[in-house]
Amino acid sequence: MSRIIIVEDDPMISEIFQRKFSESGFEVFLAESGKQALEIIAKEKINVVLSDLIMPEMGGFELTKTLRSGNYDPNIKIIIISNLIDSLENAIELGANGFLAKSAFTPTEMVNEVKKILDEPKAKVG
Amino acid sequence: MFNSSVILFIIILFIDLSLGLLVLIKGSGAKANRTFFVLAMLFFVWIGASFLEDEIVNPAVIDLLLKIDYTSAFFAIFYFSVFCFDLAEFKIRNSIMFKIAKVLFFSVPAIFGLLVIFTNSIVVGFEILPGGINPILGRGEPLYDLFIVLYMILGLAFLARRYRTTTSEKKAQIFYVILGLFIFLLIAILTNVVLVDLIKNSRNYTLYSRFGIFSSIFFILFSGYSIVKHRLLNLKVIATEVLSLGILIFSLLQVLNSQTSLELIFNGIIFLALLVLIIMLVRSVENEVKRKNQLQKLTDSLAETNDKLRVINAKLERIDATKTDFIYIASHQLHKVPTPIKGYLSMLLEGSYGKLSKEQRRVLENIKLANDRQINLVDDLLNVSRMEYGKVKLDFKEQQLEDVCQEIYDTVRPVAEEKGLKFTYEKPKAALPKLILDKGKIFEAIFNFVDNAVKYTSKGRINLKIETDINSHCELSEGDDGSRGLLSGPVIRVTVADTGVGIAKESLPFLFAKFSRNDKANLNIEGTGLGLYVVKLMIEAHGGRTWAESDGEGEGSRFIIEIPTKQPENVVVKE
Repeated sequence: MSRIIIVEDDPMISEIFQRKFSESGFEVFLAESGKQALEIIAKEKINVVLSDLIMPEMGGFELTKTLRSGNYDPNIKIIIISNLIDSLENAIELGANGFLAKSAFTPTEMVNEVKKILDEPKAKVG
Repeated sequence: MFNSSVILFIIILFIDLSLGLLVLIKGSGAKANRTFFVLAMLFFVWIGASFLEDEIVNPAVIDLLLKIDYTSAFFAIFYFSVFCFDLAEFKIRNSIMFKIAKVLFFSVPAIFGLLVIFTNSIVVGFEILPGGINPILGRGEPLYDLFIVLYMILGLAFLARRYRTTTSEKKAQIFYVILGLFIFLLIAILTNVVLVDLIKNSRNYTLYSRFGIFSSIFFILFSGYSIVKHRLLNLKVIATEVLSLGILIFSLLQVLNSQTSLELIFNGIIFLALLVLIIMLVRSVENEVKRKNQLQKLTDSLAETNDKLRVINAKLERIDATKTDFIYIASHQLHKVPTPIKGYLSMLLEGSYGKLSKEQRRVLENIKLANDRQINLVDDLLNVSRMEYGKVKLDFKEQQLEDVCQEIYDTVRPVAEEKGLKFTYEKPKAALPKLILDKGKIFEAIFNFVDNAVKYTSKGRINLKIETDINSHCELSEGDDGSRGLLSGPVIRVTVADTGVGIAKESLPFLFAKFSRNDKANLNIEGTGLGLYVVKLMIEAHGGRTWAESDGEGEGSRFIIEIPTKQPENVVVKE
């Protein structure tokens, strides 16, 4: 069973994903910022980070950078969920495994996309 | 027999007088010109008196001449400050205070004049030395000298004040005045102050001391020249002129000193030849400088234009950055509302929150449809902004367009068939020429047409066709950017034809236009939004064109894309 952390400052999005990913068999953790996420990741064994880009305290870019700095498990998958599709390349360059346009997918589709990325060894962009 | 000293004296007086008159005639209206005339006349009297006092034998006349000498000298230097004031052209309010100050200012030299002429406080008398007469001065002399120095400083202060805040022409004018004064004072101080003890007892004392007063002609010359003909300041010209003047004066003295008539003729010819040569030299130097100045001006204006452009460019870059920021922020903010709505709706419809009645489901489906439309609109809007601001990076690669069409066909066919539509794909047997394409963008464009065809066709068929046309030259609908011309030459054409609702003739021209509030016709077309405009931008980025055809409402429609096989060179990766 995959352990996923949803890093999202919008409580509604957070609630939707929490419910959907739980229903789909994920163990879900929630964080409202990159900083909070790092605290949780330090304590818990996390397989997937599903992160928004723009958040207070620490955004998705910085979170990705920090997670890929060498001090964290390199096997953690990082998937950025955002509507800022111009940031796709930037996110992948920083070490994200995927980039999903938030408003393009229903929660069910989102879960499927995340599962696809988890099954693939290579980075996937959608 | 006139000696050279007399002739030099006459020449100097002549120059002084004629220059004074010339300046007066040339600009009688200007205050500085009138002041200069008075100044020249005062120098005239001063030079005349100081010359004559050495030539006259009668002591009473010498005494009078000395007094005239000292009075006119004081007035001349006083007037120098007035001249500088006028030349500086200060803006003065003609108030009563100013008038009073003026009267007080002018009364000072008058008082000194009276003191010199009617008392012994400044000029007491004279002694006769071996080399000539020497004035004996009274107790008032230090005060007299002090005022002379003060007027000099005052005049220079006026000029200096003006010099900082004026045009280069005025600067040159001021420079000439100061240069003339400098030469005059240098010679005068050298002969009459520094070397006075050395030459005082010399037999030629008179001649030497005269150099001081005679050199005032430099001041008169340069000042007069500066008013009559102010040119741009150039050291090269000035140096040439000063040097030439020196040579000419030397040559003239040679002429005047000629002992025999043969020598006179010889020296005279040399003088004339020098005069001609020097005039030519000065002219050529002036011309050169003039040309240089013109060049400099051009260079300056170019540099100025460059600076302006740099500023404008920086401004544009800032604006562009602001726009980019705006797109970035807008895409974040505008998606913020419909995204969670979409999430909740999907989960509601999927039964995550419990079973729904048929009616509830229908309403929620409608809400979801409207919300998706909203998301699409925001996406389109942002796409348009990105395309227009060049934010979209086109990833051009060599592609087979029929592969793209095949992919679209495979994707859409199940949807179309589910709706009961017949969907066909026509392509030539032979491979089409490769095109340089951004596959994603072309996919999006054709997909948009096919998707619309499915949406707006309730029964019948949809045909996706790809073909080559060796010589296409269809009329282009008028683009709002006006940059497109008539396309002719081989193209690859993709046509999406359907048997759907069709398009009213009057709506056709607005179909690909940008969504605009003034465009009432466009507002009436439901559901088009910006999608087709984005398609148009994408196709144009490939050097192609797109348009729609329809035989009218209910008659179906054809959406066509043409991309030239020889794509223009501007189809490059856009940043």
